Amino acid sequence: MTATTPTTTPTTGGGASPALPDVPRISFSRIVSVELRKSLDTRAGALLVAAAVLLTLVPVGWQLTHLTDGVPDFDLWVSSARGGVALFLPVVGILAMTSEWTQRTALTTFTLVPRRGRVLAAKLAAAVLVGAGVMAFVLAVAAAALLVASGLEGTAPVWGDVGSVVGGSLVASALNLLMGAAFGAAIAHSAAAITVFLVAPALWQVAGTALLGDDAQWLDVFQAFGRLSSFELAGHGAQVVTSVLAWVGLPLAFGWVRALRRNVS
Amino acid sequence: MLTIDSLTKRYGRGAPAVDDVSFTCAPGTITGFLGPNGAGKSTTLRMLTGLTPPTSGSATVSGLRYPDLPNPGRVVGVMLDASAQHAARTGRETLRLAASLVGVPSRRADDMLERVGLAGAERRRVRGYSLGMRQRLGIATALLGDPLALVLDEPANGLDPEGIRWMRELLREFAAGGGTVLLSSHLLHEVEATVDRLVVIGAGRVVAQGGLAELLAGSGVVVRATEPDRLAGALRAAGVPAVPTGDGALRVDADAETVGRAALAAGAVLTELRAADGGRLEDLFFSLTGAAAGSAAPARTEVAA
Repeated sequence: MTATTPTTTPTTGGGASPALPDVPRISFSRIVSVELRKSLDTRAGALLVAAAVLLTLVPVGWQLTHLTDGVPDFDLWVSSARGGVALFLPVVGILAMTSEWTQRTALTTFTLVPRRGRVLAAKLAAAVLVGAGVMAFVLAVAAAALLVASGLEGTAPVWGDVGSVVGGSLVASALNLLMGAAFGAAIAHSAAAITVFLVAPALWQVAGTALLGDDAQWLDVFQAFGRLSSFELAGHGAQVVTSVLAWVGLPLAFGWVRALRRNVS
Repeated sequence: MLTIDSLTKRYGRGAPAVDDVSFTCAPGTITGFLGPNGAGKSTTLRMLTGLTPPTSGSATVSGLRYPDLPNPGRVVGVMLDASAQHAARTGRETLRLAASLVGVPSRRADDMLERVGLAGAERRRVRGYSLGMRQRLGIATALLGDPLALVLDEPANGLDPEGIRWMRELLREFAAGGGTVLLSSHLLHEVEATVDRLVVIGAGRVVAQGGLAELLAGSGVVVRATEPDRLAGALRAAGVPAVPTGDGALRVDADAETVGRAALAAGAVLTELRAADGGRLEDLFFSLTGAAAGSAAPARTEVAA
């Protein structure tokens, strides 16, 4: 984007040029809101939201109707509420970065906003907002389920350490979503990116341990996410950072740079 | 308004896709960017709109590079590929998204749907649109920001004759209001009735440009005589090459007076003498682009605009 210096002086030979309209630059928040709308305004987008709601409600509903071992604590309700969503959030991230290329709408988008980096950043922001909305729903459902279950059983609800439960699940969700976005950016094709996202880390978990033994945890992204979301970094900070850089930072940077330079067709 | 200056695009080590292309488009005019497929039209338009970085040269809109425009959709309406639309969105949603991005009210999106004759199909998904309908949707998107200029790549593609006439009127109206239009085409008959100026490109190079009338005047006359051989000899003697058209007439690259004087001098009786018509632009087009495709350094025809 900075390879060429912008020309701000009018060049000669253009004939009489009418004055350019005095219109302000398109604001970043406007691009984010358009990207947000784009992620939800198709049948596929609506389906994803419906899937998120179902994936949250079904396991919680099942748990509510099977309270044989007493009322679980808040953290257990949260884990059953976000179990399915954990699979879904990376898909939100992936689609945010791929759909423009898969649907060929990049041509229109980048014609209206030629600074591609702003569009990419807006896509990432919109995906994070969708993820935040989904997680707010998940946490609300978990809290409501705890209250309902306690009411049904006539026990006092056990909230435990709400701060770390909520914080941990938000961190885990954000990391999963960003990793999805990174894979989407790097692969730029919806189906291929989802497949690689599901297969590659699992394959590496097996292959890495076989090849590197204990050193594999320097590149074990799930372990890193687990440590980050449980706030247990003591002694493992460097390993967590390298894992996240390798699985999130690297593909995101690669995909980002390519999208900036890519020939839009 | 639009200034293309020595624009060159080279992919790898091969011949450049676009080679030192220069032209300008002034307000109130419609410029046809004409050339066969693969001549470099789309690459030039993509460099103009900031989608492809040029190897050298520049393209500016009122002196600014397109990516430096604060809100390009309010200055230049662009349609480069009508099929590049999200198939699962309705026509209306497609336009409303663009409207909110360029910052015009969604009412304007509905107005533009009406303007391009898609009001009846606005709730249908783009998947179900014909190519002609997608072209109309693309035009609506281009017009959305009330721009000063339009840049359209093959806008007539997929339109029926009625649609082509509609587009012609729309563009004429836009230019009459002071707008600048640059449209590309490989369809000669479509361009001839629409544009004021022509830029003809072949194998990446501009091979002719100028006003439509001037370019057509350069394509000569058709002449018939009772004794074609005598006339041909007279023209040869006058240093004016003539080409038999195959139906007894001669095609001459000169004006009517020159031909008449040659015929008079030789005592040849003319039965017809008129400006070459019908396929004249076609002949020009094929001769120019054919020459460009066949030789490394094509001759250039420059006509003062």
